[in-house]
Amino acid sequence: MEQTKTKKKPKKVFIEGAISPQFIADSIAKHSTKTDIGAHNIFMGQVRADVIEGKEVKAIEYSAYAEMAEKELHNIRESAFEQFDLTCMHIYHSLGTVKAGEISFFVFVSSKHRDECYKASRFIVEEVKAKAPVFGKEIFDDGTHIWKKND
Amino acid sequence: MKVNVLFFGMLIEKAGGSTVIVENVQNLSELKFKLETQYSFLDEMNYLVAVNQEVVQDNIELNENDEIALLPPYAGG
Repeated sequence: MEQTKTKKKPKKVFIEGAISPQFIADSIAKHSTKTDIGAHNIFMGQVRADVIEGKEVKAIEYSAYAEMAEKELHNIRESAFEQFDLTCMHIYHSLGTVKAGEISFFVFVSSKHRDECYKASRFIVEEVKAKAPVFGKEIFDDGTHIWKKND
Repeated sequence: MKVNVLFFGMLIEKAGGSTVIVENVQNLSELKFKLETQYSFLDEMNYLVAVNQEVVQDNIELNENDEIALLPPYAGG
């Protein structure tokens, strides 16, 4: 029962490359045995083909200070479990190259009722963006790049 | 004393490497001063400092082999 409120266990956060739709589908399927869940909320971040100074972003290459990011994610997870009545929670982020149109961030929360799910999902997404030391290089079609910054 | 400094993201590009060892520093202010002297680009950069994986704002005392990370703006999520 690795997915239920195992508060202390370190969890796998980073996935090399894009997060596949199959991985997400499999995550959903794994919850069918947890019949106390009444609501899931899923947030996915997708790489956008922004046009910056006439050049289009083809991919983002993610890197991270992994040890610190895992600690921050652990704290965010603990904090979400304290604030919201959740059954389980999963957070995944890509490392390496993710092409425009592919998924790089996947947050999945489950609860008895929808309200807690909506609130927890928003909280987790904002916290990860603000606190996880993840860096992104936006690569253009001509091979040049700029460094992405969260707002 | 000596500490290990790690660069991330765009700072790796600018510094031309991802780690550097800095000797003879007692506290974070001294370290930042040394780094900003050696890597003048840091002066105009927006970055956070983490000591042993915790973001630190104050001028704390450092310990031998502390891991100091310079973190440019985050882009996760």
